[in-house]
Amino acid sequence: MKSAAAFFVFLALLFVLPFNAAAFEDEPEARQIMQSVRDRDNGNNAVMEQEMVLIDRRGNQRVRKIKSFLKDFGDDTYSILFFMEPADVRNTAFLTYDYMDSSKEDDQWLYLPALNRVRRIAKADKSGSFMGSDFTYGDMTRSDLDKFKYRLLREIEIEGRKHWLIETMPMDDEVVKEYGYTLVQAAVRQDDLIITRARFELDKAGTARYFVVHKTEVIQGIPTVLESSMTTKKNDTTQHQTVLRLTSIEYDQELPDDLFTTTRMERGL
Amino acid sequence: MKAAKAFVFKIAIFLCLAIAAPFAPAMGFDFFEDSQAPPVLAETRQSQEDSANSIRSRFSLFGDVSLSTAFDWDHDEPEPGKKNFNSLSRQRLKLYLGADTQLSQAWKIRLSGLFWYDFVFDILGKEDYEKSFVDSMKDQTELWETWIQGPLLPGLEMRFGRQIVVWGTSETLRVTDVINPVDNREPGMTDIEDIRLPLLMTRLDYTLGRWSFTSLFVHEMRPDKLPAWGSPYYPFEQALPYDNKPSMSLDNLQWGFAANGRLTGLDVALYLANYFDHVPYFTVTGSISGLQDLVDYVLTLEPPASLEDFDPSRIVLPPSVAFSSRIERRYSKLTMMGAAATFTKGSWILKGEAAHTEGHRFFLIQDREKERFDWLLGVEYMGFSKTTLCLEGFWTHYPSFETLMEYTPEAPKQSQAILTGRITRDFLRDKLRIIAVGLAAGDWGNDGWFFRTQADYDWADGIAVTLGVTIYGSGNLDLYKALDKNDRVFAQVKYSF
Repeated sequence: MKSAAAFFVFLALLFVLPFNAAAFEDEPEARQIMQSVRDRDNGNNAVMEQEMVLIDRRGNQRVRKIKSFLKDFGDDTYSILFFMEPADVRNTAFLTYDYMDSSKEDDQWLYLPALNRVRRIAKADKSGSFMGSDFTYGDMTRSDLDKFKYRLLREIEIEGRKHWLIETMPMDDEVVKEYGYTLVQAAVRQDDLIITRARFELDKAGTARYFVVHKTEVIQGIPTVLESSMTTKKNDTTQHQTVLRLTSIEYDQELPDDLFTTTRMERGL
Repeated sequence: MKAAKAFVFKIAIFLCLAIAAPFAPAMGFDFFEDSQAPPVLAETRQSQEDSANSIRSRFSLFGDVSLSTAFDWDHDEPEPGKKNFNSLSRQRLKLYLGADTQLSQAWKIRLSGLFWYDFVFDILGKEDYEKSFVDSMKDQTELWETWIQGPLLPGLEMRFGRQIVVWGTSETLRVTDVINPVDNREPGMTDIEDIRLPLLMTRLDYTLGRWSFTSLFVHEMRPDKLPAWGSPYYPFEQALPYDNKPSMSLDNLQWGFAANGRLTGLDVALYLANYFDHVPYFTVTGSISGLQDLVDYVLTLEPPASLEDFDPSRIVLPPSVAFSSRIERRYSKLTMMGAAATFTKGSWILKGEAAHTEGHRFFLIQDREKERFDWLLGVEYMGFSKTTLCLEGFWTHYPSFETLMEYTPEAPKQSQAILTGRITRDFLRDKLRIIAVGLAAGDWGNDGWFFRTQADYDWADGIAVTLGVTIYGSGNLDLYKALDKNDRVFAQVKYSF
């Protein structure tokens, strides 16, 4: 009896120990890979037009057309995004100052034409869905690598191309609350450092989001994601999906600094 | 013994499964297999680039059309022959239509108008309503935001035309938000962003790093739109007197200046403005005819030895002397210095505003201008998912208050406190929004209060349905005594294009 009980406790420990969060150690190699992903060349700036399609489980679609501008200011990245469609969100603008310095919180502002006023967004909003989509406000900014720990699970092949499978875990509960997920597994394509698939375990029991890149292309020498999707599942049942399609992109344009200001949000495109 | 072993075996298996189950998803990497990626649920439209798009992008037509209805239920039984307001109170068809034209890369023109017609007077008959009320609420045709904007110099942007400028941080109250008047004909029925009225002005913006500087030259004076005589919201016993609005002239030019800093974690703003108050004060104006004859007559009188010896019945004015006077509405020219700040920390947003205005005038003491201090402190919390909580406290104070001011029709109080609260929550992936907003004036709302809750639902892209109810509470202030009994339910369907 004692030996049988001990055997099954041993089995349980075998299952538990490798996946116990407390035992998850940060691995330098995995961190280096994610640092490379973050530092991947994406031009000094970009002008993009995107179509965001929100699809519920019955197949009903809501379409958002977005025009966005990104520019590097030293190590920081500023981005401004304007909604063009549908009519009731037209000229809604979203401005982000994404700081490399992890001690500085990102600044984000939202302009709603109906309010005629720019308002700040608080940090906690990052876990909330962006305009009803499956992407969050946190997804719209670069993650702060220091808030997470990483480990390399293994190398895999997707569509004939080698990937690293990296597991990411928030450092503490505060980061979980900030970003809204407890664990991420991401497949990083080795030849161009694009994350082609990712699975986000959310801070809600049984809920996960799945990110898939459907199409990429090299534009002006820069590997670019042209079509991707984010699917939210609860207990493996699809709840909602967002398809993000890039309809046009131009890198390294002449973008004035004052394009990335709250004044510009009010003036619109 | 065997039964005990079997029991332990089952418990151990159960424990293995229970402990391992939460980690099961982490163990399965099926998603990363080629064939296991979730498919796209439906075909999506492909955007087509064609030559027509380039033309369309220079010109765009936009707007919305809505049908709104409201029903009142709390009014007192009217006197015989008077209108019973416990009935349909609104059946309004509204059209907002606008057009933007991109003249060049940098220059743009906007033209927009607002039109509505309320069928309620046709449905219920106009006879029982006061004419002034019907005229005020039956229909409206108004030139809305109409302007031309573009760069005058590198970094210096101009916008000239009818426009709305919003200052300050508050969602509900106005401390430094003084530039545009508001439509207050149905107080509490909608948020403040829906009731600001555009003004003709020249706006200049200059950006320098994280700071932007705005100059305003306001060429038009518009008062607030107030409930008309006969409206269930009207607070006075008589119709308002003649409205002596300032004319458009260089002498009456209004101006404003703002400096906005968007710093890391902090927004600050400084304001300075000279403008006409949007709410009138009352004044008596008069004239004397035959003034010289009056002066000559007075010079013939012998001054009495004492006040007791004065007999007014012995005064006989020359027939050419006549007095005329009237009460009219006028508008104080105010100067405002103010500041606002918004500070974010975690899930919290802290905000504050302060303003000092001088130049306030009141009935009976219009030769003496009064100054006033206004403060606002607010906090927003966004720590709950898809929910925003907002609480704002507002205080106003007249340092050199005179007792006589309490008896003026403007009825200011030396100090006034107002508390507002708002809860906003989104559901169904931002398709449904529930809003609850309340305002209480005075200590514990004893000066008056109102509460509104509504649900806004996106039926489809561009189509929204709203249902709501507004409840008013009376108090010491005449304004809220008038608002009381106007409780109503309302609904709206709106199509945006």
